[in-house]
Amino acid sequence: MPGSERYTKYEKARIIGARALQIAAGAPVLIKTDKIDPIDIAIEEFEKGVIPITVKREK
Amino acid sequence: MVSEEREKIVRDLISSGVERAIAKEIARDFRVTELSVGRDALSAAGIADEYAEDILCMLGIEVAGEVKPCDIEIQVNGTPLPEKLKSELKSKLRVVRRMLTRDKLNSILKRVIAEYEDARVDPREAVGVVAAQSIGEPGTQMTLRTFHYAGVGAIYITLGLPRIIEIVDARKKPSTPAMKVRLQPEYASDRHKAEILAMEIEETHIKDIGKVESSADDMCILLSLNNRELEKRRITKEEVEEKIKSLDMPVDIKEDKIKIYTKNNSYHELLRLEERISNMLVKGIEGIKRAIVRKGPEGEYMLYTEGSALKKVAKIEGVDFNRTTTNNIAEIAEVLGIEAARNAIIDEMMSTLEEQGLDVDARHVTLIADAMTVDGEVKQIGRHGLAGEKTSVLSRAAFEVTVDNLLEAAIHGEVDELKGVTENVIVGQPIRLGTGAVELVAKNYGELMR
Amino acid sequence: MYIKIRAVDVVRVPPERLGEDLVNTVKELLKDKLEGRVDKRIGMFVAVLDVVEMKEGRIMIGDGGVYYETIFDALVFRPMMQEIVEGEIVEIVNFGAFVEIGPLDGLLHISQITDEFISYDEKGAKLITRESNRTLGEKDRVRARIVAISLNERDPGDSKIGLTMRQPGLGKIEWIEEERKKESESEV
Repeated sequence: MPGSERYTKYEKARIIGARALQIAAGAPVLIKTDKIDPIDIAIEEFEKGVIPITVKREK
Repeated sequence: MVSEEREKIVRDLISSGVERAIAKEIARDFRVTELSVGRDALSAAGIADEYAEDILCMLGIEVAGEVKPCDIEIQVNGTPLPEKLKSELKSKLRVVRRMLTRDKLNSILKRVIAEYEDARVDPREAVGVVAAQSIGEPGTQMTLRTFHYAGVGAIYITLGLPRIIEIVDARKKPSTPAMKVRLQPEYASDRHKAEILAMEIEETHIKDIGKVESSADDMCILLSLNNRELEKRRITKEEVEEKIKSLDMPVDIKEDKIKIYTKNNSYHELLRLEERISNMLVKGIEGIKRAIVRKGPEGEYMLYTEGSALKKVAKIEGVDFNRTTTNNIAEIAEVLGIEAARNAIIDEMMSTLEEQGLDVDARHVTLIADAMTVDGEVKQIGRHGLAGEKTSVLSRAAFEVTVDNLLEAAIHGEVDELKGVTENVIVGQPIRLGTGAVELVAKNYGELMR
Repeated sequence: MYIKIRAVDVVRVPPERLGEDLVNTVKELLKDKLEGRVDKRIGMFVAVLDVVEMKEGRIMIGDGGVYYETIFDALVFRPMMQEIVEGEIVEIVNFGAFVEIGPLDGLLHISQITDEFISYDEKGAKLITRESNRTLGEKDRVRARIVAISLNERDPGDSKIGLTMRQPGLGKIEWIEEERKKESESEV
């Protein structure tokens, strides 16, 4: 993806959504945090750039 | 100084915003080989302060901390903004250049880029749906099913919802065709000349310039011309006589009357002839029922016409065809091509919406115009145009005549790619729009393992 | 017979196992999913040997799991028609004998054991030929040919493999030895 490392709002929503679901289902959390809500945790992970998920864009 | 060198200086000066005449002046008086020119020397040479700075900058003489025009040029060109925005930004920055520092310039550019990125539509946004809603909602505020008329002088033009429907349905002919005819400068500034031109364009029939009567006694048509009308419309008697003769009927021309006889002496023929003569075109362009001279928004005289005939108006002397328009989109597509038709759709819709006091972003309308014209012809939105040409079997079947559509598709072995919204809803899949179109991939893993 | 195959399958790694070593996890999941499973064309999966290659993981809407398309090597048991198999008899019943020929048992029907008439000895759990008085009991090794295959994908244990020994060179191993001795003697 040359020139656009930025995620679109839809990509951001999907990444955080999928990650929150994983965390809710018991996936290990990748940051140290006091938060409890999986969505909040996923958002924090996203902001820190540690979510091991990317998007595949059409060429 | 070599003239070549001088040319270059002039060019450079002009490109940095100095007026041509001044640039020439500077180039003549100025010895570029001597680089030790200061601001004082320039003002002593009678050069205005604002140009002196540009010149100093060009000569590479730095004024500490200042932002030079070339800085603006370079910095702005380096941004990922579209060309139109760049040039607007440049000209605005040049105005406030004095107040800028490099840091300020940078932060301005950052802000502009951020705002621009923000305003851009994200990929996979359902722009079509948003456009439909953005026009549909204001549409409900237009008086429904009521025909609104607002006119220029005595000419009435359909406006409001009926007009929008007309455009979107891509009617071959609008219910009230009309043109705005701009004129060449010499006509545009002279009301009298413009009025003559209006007469030239407006269609004039025999019945407008005289009385047509049928006389059953001697089986002839009596035509008595009205001299005042003739004069007003600048038609000579000879012209009318010429026209009558072209009918190829026995004619008897008298001082104030013209008698036209029938060939077969039948009443039926007499009646038909009367009708025919009354409606004979003596002057003007067929289809232009009225042409009115008015001052246009630019303060020049122009013609507003009832009826539209773009092709014929183009040939009239004194008409500025480049600035002449019609509200008949099909006609524009035919005469000027599909790109012009696209622009006409945008203009017509925008002005109709604006006239109703509705503020719709032009990009929604642009999208609709694009969708209507992509194929190279003006297509309506609806089942006979855009909606009816869907490639998906399922969405066509969901729309109308389900069984026929499915049967037909089965016979031809059609394949549904499940790309559209309807198809995916039918199948029960997430639709390929917005979040539904994002494909997620787990990072870091994959590739060869051993 | 046993065959080593290279196959492709999609494995769902559940969210709670995402922290573990990926290749091992995928291998384990493949084992759980496939071992003991029967496919009509492939046969029965005996063991997943190695993960060869993994494509990038996909994440679907509404599912926290990650789906990996995986290429792997596996050992499968694939019975084939006319194949000669050797095995041990595991059970004698009134209509024949069950022979263990791998992960699946084959049925040697009473009519397919010898050309002779056979009677069933329920107490001794033996099958006895009437004329030559040969016996066939549990733990005996036999050589047979596969003549019928019916694999059940839903219930692998219900799969049926039909065997026969009524052909030259087939039968209980001792019988074959006897036949061979007799033949060499008559040649001399």
